[in-house]
Amino acid sequence: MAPVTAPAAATARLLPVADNRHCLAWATGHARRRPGLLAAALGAMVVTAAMGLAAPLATGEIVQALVERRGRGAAVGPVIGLALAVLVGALAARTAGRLSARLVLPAVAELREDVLAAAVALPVDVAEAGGSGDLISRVCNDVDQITEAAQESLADFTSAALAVCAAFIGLAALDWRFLLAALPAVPIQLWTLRWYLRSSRPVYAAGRIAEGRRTESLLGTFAALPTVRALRLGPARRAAAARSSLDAVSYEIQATRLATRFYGRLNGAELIGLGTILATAAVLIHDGGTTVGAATSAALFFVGLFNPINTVLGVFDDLQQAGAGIARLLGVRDHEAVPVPVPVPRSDRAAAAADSSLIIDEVSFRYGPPGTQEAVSGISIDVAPGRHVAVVGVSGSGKSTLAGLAAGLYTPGSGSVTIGGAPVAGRVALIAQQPHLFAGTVADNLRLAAPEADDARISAVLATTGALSWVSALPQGTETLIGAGGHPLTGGQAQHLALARLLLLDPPFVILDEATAEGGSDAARSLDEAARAATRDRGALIIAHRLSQVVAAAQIVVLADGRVVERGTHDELLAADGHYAHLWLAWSRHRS
Amino acid sequence: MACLLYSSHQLGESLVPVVVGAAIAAAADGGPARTAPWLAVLAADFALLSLSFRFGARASQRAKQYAAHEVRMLVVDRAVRPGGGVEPPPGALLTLAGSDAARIGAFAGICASGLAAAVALVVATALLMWFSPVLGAVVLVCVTVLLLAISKASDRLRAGYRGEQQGSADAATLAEDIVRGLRVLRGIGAERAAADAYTAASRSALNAAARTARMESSLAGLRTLATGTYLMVIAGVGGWLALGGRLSLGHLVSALGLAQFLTGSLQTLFGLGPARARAIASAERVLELVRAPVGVIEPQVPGLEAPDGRDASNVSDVSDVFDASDADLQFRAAVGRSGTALDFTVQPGRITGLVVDDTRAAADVPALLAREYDPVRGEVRLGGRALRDYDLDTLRSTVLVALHDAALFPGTVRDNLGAHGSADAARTATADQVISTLSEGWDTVLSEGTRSVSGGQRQRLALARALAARPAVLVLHDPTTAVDSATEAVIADNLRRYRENQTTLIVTTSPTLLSRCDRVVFCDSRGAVDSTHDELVASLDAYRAVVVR
Repeated sequence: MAPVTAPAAATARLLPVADNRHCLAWATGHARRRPGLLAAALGAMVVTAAMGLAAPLATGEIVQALVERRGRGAAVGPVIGLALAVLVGALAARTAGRLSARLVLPAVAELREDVLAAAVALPVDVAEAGGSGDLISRVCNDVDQITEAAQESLADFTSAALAVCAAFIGLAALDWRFLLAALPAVPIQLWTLRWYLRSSRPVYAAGRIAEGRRTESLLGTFAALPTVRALRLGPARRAAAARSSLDAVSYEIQATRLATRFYGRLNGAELIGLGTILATAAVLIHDGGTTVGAATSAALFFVGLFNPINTVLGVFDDLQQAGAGIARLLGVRDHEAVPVPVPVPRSDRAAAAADSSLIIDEVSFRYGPPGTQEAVSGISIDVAPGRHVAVVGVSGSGKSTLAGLAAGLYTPGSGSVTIGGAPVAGRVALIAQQPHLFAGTVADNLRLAAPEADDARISAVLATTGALSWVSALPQGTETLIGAGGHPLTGGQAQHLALARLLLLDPPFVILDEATAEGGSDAARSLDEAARAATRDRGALIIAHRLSQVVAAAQIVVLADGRVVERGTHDELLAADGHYAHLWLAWSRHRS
Repeated sequence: MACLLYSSHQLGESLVPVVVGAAIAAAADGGPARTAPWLAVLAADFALLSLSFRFGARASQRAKQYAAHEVRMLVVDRAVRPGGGVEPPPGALLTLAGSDAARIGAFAGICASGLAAAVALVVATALLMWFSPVLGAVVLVCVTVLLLAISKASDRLRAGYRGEQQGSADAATLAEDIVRGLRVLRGIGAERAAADAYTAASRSALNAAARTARMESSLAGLRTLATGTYLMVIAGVGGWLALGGRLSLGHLVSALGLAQFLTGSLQTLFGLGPARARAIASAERVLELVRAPVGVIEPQVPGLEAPDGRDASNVSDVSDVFDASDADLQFRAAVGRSGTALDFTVQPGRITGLVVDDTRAAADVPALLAREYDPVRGEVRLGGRALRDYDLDTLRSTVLVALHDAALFPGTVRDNLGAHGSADAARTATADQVISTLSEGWDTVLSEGTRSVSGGQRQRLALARALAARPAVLVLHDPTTAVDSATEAVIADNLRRYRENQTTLIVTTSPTLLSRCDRVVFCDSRGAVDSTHDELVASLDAYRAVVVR
């Protein structure tokens, strides 16, 4: 067997995974929450299993009748009894299925909902650590696997455990010495189970990760089909998908190899147990200690134990599989949000400005682990209420990271972002650089910011931002479906809607990250107006390459390599003849 | 193979009691010493059953996994087909390639054990026939009826399974949408609203799953009933025959023992029904995708028709090395929502800028050139021949369209930019600067959805990727909207050098890029003007209003 090696990419950052204790606590917590349902489901399973024992009894009766040379009528009683048992058993099986579905399905659905809710609230860099594939794979694939394993194992375990008990009692009733003889198998079985649980856990865990990578590869392709077609990347994307898919397959097969070795060792244990019993029987028969009949029964009882015992042990395999998924889901759900550090003003400046300004105080942040390069270092910016501060710099200088920090999407590595000494949550809105349209109507997209907004309010913000004219011209106006699979909008139109949405939200501070960069003509002209409407009477941090946007700002901050290299008004910075003057020259050369 | 191994496993299992009996008989006859050889036989039998199970289980797992893999690749193949026409959103495609593929694979995986069970059943029925033709015949009829009934009942589950898969596809689609728009959501504090929407989708998926689970439970009850009926018939008929003296005691015991042994096989066979219904429901969903009409005709696929009924027979056989360096690109087609006719020509060997005052219409130009769709009215011609008469692959390797929102793919920078001759292209797009800031340079892994690079950095990498392909005709759509002005100026100069004497069309409103173009075509409602940037700025207010802002 190939050793389980975590492939290179698996060592990359992924979303967190919970430990075993945590998973167990979740499962028992759920079982305790609905004890009645659990008991009823188990009861129904026991009845199903018990009714299964009616067949041997009935056949025994018939054989007995034959031995006693009774008439044909003697078969009627046992057959009717059997029929009743079958009927009850069938009803119990149906009930057991229904109850266990009621036990498992809602619990798992609730888990995936909690996971998604937790994931969207995580710091964005944590949530996106494994790419969207990691998270999507958890709420889809892992959930499927848990559901399957949980439903199967519950029913299997109950009926098999019942059968094991019955057989053991039978064995003991025949002669306690047979029970002793069967014991050598037990330590081997326990040892095998331990070995298996230890060696299969990493395989299952790696398999889940491989499925996450497969999901990422597939999503990357499925979400960018126009690019795939235009650049003729079909064969390359197919090859990448095939690679990740076969990688995931290889873990499944590896897991099966382990499982079959597990069952192989259990067979070995059975052989030893059966051998001991037969040897004991031979000795006992020889000494006259037992009858041939009793010995036969004992050996056959033991043979009858094989399948149920394997099933019971196999349930541990199911639990192991489900556990791998549950650990991944709980890891996200219960991820300790990095505690927002109680903002401690580190400089007099911040302490003094304990009014309602947005204070970015010596903030540093890095995406990678400690020791890697910082995306922004020691940045301090004050945005007074109603004032506009612009941030410029070449791409990759840390502007978008700064925007994310100011809006509370990331937790700063050091420093603080505060308003009046408190965290910014709920008082700062950000328009992200990448406009995203959610699948739904135009109105749905706007109402994300204010679910209670009525149609009149929707129309009002569209009118204020100048978007009403083109929205009205859409096939169904504000009820037109947009986003994936909907009516196509240009990047500029998407940004226009984002600005209108900001008005619905009406926050005291806004951060515009290239909010008017897309598409440059009819839409862009009204985008500039929309941006003005969205920032009027608000404090604003405006990130823009289109420098016409920043000229009027009260202060312009220039970033380079994650640090502030210049700050001042447009005129001051032009006079300084530094970075900004250089950018301005490039910008204005063809625009005057 | 798996079936054969499973059968031999079953044979091994059924031999265990026989060997046990023989061993005890030997012990009774000749004392402990005589048992020893039987213990050896027992060990051999265990080796047989254990090994055949081991390899049987492995074979059926391989069947399951590779069947699912094949279906997954079928979905991927359809998704990436050059002709397009793929309607479902990414999350729905993911469900098809994930859970639907798995369900089809699962059926393939249990087919072997199903076959083994069927073999066991046939052998047993034949044995019963031998004991007593009447009993055998009754059992045969009974089993057939039961199997038919179960499979009929399972078929009714199919619609339920489809609904269940649709529900989980919807939930997956929403989850994917939410994760992709995570920054937007966080930016406006709409986490709660998004989570609530997902909860609603998850609940309706749950309801669909609960419905099928209820139906499955009823079917499980029915299976128990059917298995019980089978036992009952053998016990009843066998007992009746035996008590009437038409069946010996030995044969009755054997028949009943056999029946008991076979209940497992019977349950396996009955279990095939729902698994098959699941697989068929999923297969139908996959087939709907695979058979969906393509968006534009793909001439290289013979016999395939586009939705408009044009067939591929009139497509000329253009070789891959078609030389388009001297071909002009004639655009005469309706664009935009209003369907205004756009009429301009891209001269060979020149860098042409295209400014369209309506953004929607401007976005149609690269899409039509990439043949994402075909014009409703008019035609686009390359070297005098309509684009739709070219082989799609040849066309796209000749006319490369770098879409504005082009995505990077999960993988390293090197994987994304292509290995050949990309250093030069990277320098031109100033992507080399981007790469030098990444932690592992060219080997940095870019992951899907992660904004491991900023918008401007991504645009520069995507531009480098398009340039590296060195197509005869290059079409760029707003390649620098997220790039700062200084870098944009550098890119514009580099681009001019890099595409010297090669046909290039840049759809943009950036004056920095337009000033470096040989020609600039300006289109508004009054028609197209073909001139240069400087002249247009000097002479046309409408042009100035669009580009100088």
